[in-house]
Amino acid sequence: MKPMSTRVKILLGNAAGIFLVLIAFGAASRVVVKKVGIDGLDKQLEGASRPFLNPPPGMGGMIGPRFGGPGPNQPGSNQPDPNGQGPNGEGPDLSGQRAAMPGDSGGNPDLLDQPQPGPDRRPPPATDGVANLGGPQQDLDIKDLPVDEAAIQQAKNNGTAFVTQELNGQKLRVIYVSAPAGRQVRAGRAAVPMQPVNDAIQLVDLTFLLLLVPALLISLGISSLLTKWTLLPAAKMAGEAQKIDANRLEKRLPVIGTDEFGALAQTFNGMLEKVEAGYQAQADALAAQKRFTGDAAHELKSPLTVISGNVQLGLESAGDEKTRECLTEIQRESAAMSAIVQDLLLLSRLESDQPLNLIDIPAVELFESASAGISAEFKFRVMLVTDPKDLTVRGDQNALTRLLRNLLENAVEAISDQGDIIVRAVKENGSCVLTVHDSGRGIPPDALSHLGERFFRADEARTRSGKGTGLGLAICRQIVKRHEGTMRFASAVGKGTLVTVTLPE
Amino acid sequence: MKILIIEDDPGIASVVSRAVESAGYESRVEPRGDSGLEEALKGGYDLIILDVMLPGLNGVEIASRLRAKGTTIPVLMLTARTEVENRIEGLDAGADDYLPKPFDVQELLARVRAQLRREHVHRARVIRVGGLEIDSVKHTVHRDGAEISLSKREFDLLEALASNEGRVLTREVIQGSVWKDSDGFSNTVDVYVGLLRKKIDGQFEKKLIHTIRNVGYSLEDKDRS
Repeated sequence: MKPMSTRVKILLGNAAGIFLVLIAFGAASRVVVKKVGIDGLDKQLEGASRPFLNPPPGMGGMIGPRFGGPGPNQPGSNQPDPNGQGPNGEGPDLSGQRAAMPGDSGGNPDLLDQPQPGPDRRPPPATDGVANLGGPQQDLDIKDLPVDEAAIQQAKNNGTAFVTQELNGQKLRVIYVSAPAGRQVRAGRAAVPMQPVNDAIQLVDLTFLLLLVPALLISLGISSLLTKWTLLPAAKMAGEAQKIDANRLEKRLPVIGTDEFGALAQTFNGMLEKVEAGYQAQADALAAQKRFTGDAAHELKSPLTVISGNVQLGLESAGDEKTRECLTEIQRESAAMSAIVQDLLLLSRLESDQPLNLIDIPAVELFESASAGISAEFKFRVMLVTDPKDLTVRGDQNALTRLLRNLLENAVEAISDQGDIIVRAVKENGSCVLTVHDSGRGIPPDALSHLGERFFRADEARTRSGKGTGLGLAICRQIVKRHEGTMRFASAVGKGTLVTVTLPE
Repeated sequence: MKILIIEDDPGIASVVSRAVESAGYESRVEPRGDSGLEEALKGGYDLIILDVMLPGLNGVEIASRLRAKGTTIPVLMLTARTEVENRIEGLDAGADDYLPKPFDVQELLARVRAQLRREHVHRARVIRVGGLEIDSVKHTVHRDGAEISLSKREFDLLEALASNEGRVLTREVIQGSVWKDSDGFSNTVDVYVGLLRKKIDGQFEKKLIHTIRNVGYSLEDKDRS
């Protein structure tokens, strides 16, 4: 698996961080909203339970053993007897004494049930001895709501307790308060639906979900910008480094700041110094070698002239056969040396930056000068095919003539007796393409890559008998290079060879 | 015939002098430039073989001084420097021939013979026709000041037409004088005149090269119908 790039790592890391922060923020909001909501409900419940805990003064006998409700003897009364009697209300016979209650005729048939002045003294409904107080929502009837024993206990200890209970599928917030001393019922409770708070939380959740994707996108966006900004120095360095190549080794990376990137740039620059120095040393060595070759060849000119001249003079006055033979051999070898020297000097000149004299040369003229003296010697045909007839080749006349001559000489060498040499010159895609084809012995494939090396000969056995200096193709290669062209060889042993030279206009 | 050889390399001096003597001439060797010039100015020599790189005074300098004094003795320059500029420099200074090293001694003798044989009818160095300027030594062509690059054969053809200004040259004559030693293709002359026209007359309103139907070509500075 491909390792993750640094950029991606930083991007994902930052995005994850930002995203998590946003999520945490959202979660915290939700918690706060819930708490605030519930706290609000609880306050409402506290308010509702206050009358139970601190009833207003003037209730008189209300605050007494018999708080609320018709007497235990009254039919229909399901109030437990505060004196500890059972639900049937058997207890002390208090029938004779009865407090006056509003709306209570008191059993006196003469007294009509008339609303009496004063607050409603009817006792609140109760469940299992726990009074059900009216809550903020008037129509909420909690008498069927079971009593939470743990909450009652807690209320007895701490005064109040809050719990969440469910009635008929509706969630309620319930406050349990313990009854003040001397009361008939043990505790009171009030409830309020939690719906509003739940609605609020649901709204928060929905908003949360809706904002999830935008939050993710935002965090990726911010992170991406952040990453770009952080890695900017690296990108800059890479851009500058790309401009450095063999021709521009002296270029250095800019050192920005003293951080990690700055240090990296400095280290890189140090490395470039070493590379440049090594490169320079190599270039110097190569130049020195070329100079030496040229100088050596130059120095050989005079001695060769002297040898050749003396041999010729000697031959003129040589008497016996043996001397003549020896001198003739010397002459031949001396001529071979001269040819090598000439070629080395030409190569040296071509390798120097001496400018070429570029003109438009008629292909016909190139061919005629290059093939002068060749076809006369041999029994085969040398032909030029060119289209159009007045096609011109752009280049240095001396150099290109030499190039073609060398190729023709090689072609002649390859053909032992019968064969054709065809030279073709055409224009193609803005370049001039020159081909030399011979039907000679061909070049073995493993020799093809060495063509153009100095003194390389494909067939070692022919080293001494051939006419060439071994530098012919090296010179061709250099001429082609100076003209910024290309030279390719295609050959099959026994079939022939095709050399293709392409010269840009 | 006496030949003066001004050459500092003893090997070359020796072989050249022996070669020259075996060909029947007398010779004298001067190994330094200054003494060589002195000797040349004394007179009595029919030809001077002059090396360029010499101690004391170099060959080019010697040649110009000789010409400045008015001597018309043929001067044959030898040198190891083969660049074209050096050749031109030597010929400009007054040398009659220039032979780069390494040279074949036989060739040297042949050139010596040619120089001694030569009638001193110097061809005009620069030919001028209607804005066209042809320099035979430098092998350059200018028209109205702008240089025109010609191949060797194109130059030879132009030179032949220009030195026969006004005269019509037939294809055979042209082939004979310009394509001296090669067979050439049958309509090569036409091809070359076409190429030459493009380069010489192409950019200019006034045409200098004319075709005379069924006869040949000419170079002239007036309209011919």
